[in-house]
Amino acid sequence: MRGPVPIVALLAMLLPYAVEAASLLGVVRARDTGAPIGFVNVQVSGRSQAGAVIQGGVLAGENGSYLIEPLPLGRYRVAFTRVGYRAREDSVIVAEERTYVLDIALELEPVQIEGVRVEADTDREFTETEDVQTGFVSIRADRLSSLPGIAEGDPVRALDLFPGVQSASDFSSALYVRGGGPDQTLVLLDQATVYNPTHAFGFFSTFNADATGDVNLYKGAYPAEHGGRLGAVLDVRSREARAQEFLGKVGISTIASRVALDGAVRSGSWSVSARRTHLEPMLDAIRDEDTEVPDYFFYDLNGKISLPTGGGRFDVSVYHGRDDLDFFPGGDTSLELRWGNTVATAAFMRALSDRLIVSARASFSDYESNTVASAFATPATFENAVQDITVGGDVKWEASLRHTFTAGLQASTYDVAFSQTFNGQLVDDYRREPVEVAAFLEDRWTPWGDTAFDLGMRARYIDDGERYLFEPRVAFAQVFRPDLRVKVGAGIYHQYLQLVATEAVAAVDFYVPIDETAPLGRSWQLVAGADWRWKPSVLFSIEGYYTDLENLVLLDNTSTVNVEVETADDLFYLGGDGYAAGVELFARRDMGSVTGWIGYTLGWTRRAFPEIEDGETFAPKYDRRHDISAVAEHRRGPWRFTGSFVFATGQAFTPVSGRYSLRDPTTGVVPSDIQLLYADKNSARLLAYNRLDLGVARDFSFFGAKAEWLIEVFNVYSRRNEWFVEYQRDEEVVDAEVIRMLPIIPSIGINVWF
Amino acid sequence: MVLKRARILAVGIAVWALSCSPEREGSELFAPGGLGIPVVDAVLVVGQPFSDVYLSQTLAPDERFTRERAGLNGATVTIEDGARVIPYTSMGVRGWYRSGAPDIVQASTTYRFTATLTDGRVVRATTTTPARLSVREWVLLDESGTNVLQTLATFEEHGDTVYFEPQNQLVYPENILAAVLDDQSTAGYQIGLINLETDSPLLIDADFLEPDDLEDFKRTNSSPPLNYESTLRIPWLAIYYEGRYNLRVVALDRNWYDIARTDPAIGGGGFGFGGEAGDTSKRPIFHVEGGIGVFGSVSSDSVGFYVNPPAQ
Repeated sequence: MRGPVPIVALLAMLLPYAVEAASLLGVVRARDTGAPIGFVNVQVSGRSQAGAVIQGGVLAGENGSYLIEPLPLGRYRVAFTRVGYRAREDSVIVAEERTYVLDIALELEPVQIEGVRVEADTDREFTETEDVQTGFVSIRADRLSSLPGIAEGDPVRALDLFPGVQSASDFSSALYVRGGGPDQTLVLLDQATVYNPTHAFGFFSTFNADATGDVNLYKGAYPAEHGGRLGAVLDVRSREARAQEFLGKVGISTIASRVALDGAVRSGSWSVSARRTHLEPMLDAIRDEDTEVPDYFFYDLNGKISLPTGGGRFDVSVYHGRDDLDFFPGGDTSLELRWGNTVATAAFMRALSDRLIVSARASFSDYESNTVASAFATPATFENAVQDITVGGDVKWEASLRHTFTAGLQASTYDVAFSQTFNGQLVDDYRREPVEVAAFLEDRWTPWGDTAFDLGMRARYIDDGERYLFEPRVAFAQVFRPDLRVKVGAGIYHQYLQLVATEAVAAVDFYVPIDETAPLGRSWQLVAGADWRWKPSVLFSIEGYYTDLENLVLLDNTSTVNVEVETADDLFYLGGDGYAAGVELFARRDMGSVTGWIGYTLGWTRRAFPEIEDGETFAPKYDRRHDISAVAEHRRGPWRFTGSFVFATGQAFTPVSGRYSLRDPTTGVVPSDIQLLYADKNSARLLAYNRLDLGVARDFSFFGAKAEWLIEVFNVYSRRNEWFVEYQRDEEVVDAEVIRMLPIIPSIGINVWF
Repeated sequence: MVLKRARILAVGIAVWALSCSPEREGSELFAPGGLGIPVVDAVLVVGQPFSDVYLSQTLAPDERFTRERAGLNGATVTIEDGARVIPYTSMGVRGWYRSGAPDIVQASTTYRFTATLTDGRVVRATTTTPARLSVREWVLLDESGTNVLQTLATFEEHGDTVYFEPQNQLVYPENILAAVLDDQSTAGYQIGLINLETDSPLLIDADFLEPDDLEDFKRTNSSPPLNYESTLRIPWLAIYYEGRYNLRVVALDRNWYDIARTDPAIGGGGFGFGGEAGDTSKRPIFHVEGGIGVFGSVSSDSVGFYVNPPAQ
């Protein structure tokens, strides 16, 4: 758990005053909800009693808490800034050696009034040397979900508008981060792993925007507190309950209805959110004697309770979601598909002193997918489950001005199982129950005021194969000028649980532990970048990355049916390697009449497997040379206008280069279909992808309650982007058909707060 | 004002240009380099005379394909087993070659194929035939798959009247037909089902399908490659029509097994999930030097039965 980032040093100039010094701490909350706000930039500037100019800053922790010390006696201005909130200042007079408390409430981002520019403080500078993490994106879920999309705002789908993040298609919410597949990104909800974070076959993520708080994405070189994936970490947090009073929100979109309730309990707070699709009337309308249409719905429930207790804080959060599809067209043919996740986390955090914070956590995550099908009287079943029980704890100790140590221990038991039957016969029956123990140690070392290191080591033990793994991590930040910061990060990562994902049907995604028959996937990552704050409201970033991958696995789809899968070796192509390299450019404007960002990624991704194409290197489908995304938001009175645009190099595909004919020796006949001879794997490209989405929303009063209606249009100019190419072999001349992605999709919705 | 109109016009043109969803010609979706490659089509059957060989070349995907047009004439084709060379001669049909020798293909024997084309290119391949396959018994299991309801009569016992023997009468889709095998070392198996009627009625309830879809329900079907199971169950999924059926279980050599498991057109594709959309396109594993295709071998056993419609 990432606790408050107790803050290192107010730069080297503070040191002479350390003897006569106080400390300043507090919690930053949202004014409207009372919920803590994470990652707020807290800047202190002023003059000490001795006359020295004091200037420095820290980044508040995920739970909104911050700590600044030592703070010499004097008068100071304290500024609080975070994207999406109105910047705020306060002052504090430090007259004696004690702890001063300054809690602060921030309002949501400023509303642009016609003809008036609202800007924050004009002297924001890069002094937050705490912020050493490369490739880190932290943004509120409601900000992401307010971007125009398909029918139902999805905070995860919108992440692909950031540089280095892609989606595979309009149909998938899976994230492809910096050349890694969705199998290489760890997805967490309140620090518990979510094993299949999808609804509607991957079309939507499981994260209901009304129930989601901060969405934190580590695109690469992630720190030692996380582990288990080769590429990235998506760390999603449940929304903090609004503590002061009973509040609610209801919303209806084109496909789903939502309700969220918050209230106070004792000195704490609770929140409950629910969402369910309401597609049934539409499906009924389509269905008739000639048109068979499946029944389908999904729902999810989120709940969280937070209680201050025993000088600390106790949080329990729960998520439960299910997808349900039934299809009975007749003719001894049917399909029943159920899948979903249940995730629960209990966490306790307590500050034992100003310098020592401890936290403990227990989590449970369960993913199940059950398919019962029958095709012309031939039954088949597919069952797939992952259960993860994890307990752990962290200690954060600010040992000195220069060193803050964080140590953690975590133990997990997994129960991974899948089985298949076909025609009443057990085809696969795979089950493993491994145990993993991990420990990490991090040292936030600030040797000089404008230089910070994050030195970490993660050690893991996995009983499956008796593996001991050591994964060093390092991050470095250097402030060269008040407006210029350089960051470097690197690390080594291993992956034990391997996700086998299907782009178009995420419901059957399953996990396979890499047992002793195969070496674990391994990567090392190097990331370097710089941030330049051109103006207080405008930030430019550049970041280059290189990821080297080895011991990759890929599902061997040529494994024959009726093989009893016992090992990873049975199931996968082994021994793959590859790399991902690229450069990301990012420009972001946080305040002004128009806010938003523009990102560009230049990237290369390659893979090679000894058993594929004779070991020749190939570009995976999601390799993209160029990827441009732009997001803009404009507020005018009660109106809010949003837009996003994406342009990307077409995906790779394998074209046909010839035809030939072979007899079928099983039946002795010459098939009417003629075989296709394919060229080198992924040696051709689809046309470039581009798409413009627009949205408009307007606030209004609904029987005295605050409300908004919104209209969103996905793919405004209805460009039918190419998804993949399908070749028809049963014609005398091969018919190449391009399967396209989604056309224009307008949607409407309404939200009411009470 | 002029500048504003020009901006609006420029934006309009940009949006129009981006919004185009261009229809590409099929030829734009093909790759060069796959033309004129020699293709071997020769699979030996254990216990049978040497099979005919079809020698051809790949044609362009946007070119009309017929076996006549693709066939290669004038090649010198031989198969040898180390002890003797079996020559093949042209059958008079473009691309087809036939052995003149009366020899029978032997089990567990290595054969070498050589074809020298008129332009001097040489195509070579080798196969080791599987052991002779004999299904211990053909049975009808109950719905639980554990109890044998009846044992089917065989060709050895009844010849071509086997289709009409009482114990070989099946009712769609009741119970489970299965082949019980002895343990055998082979690369894999396939099951072939041939409906011997030409216009018998459809058994399946296909009301929910479009008429065009019925074209996919063929009278001859083969399974994907299978690994060894002591009991191979035959899915009703492969039986669509009433009438006589010839059911074959085929033990595969490595060459055909590798093609069958890696070519989605034949049945390769295994689990059917895991991967990117459209990513099943791939070149199968060929074991042919100087070309593609297959010089393989199989060993088979078969049974005949009759499938009756369910009682009304």
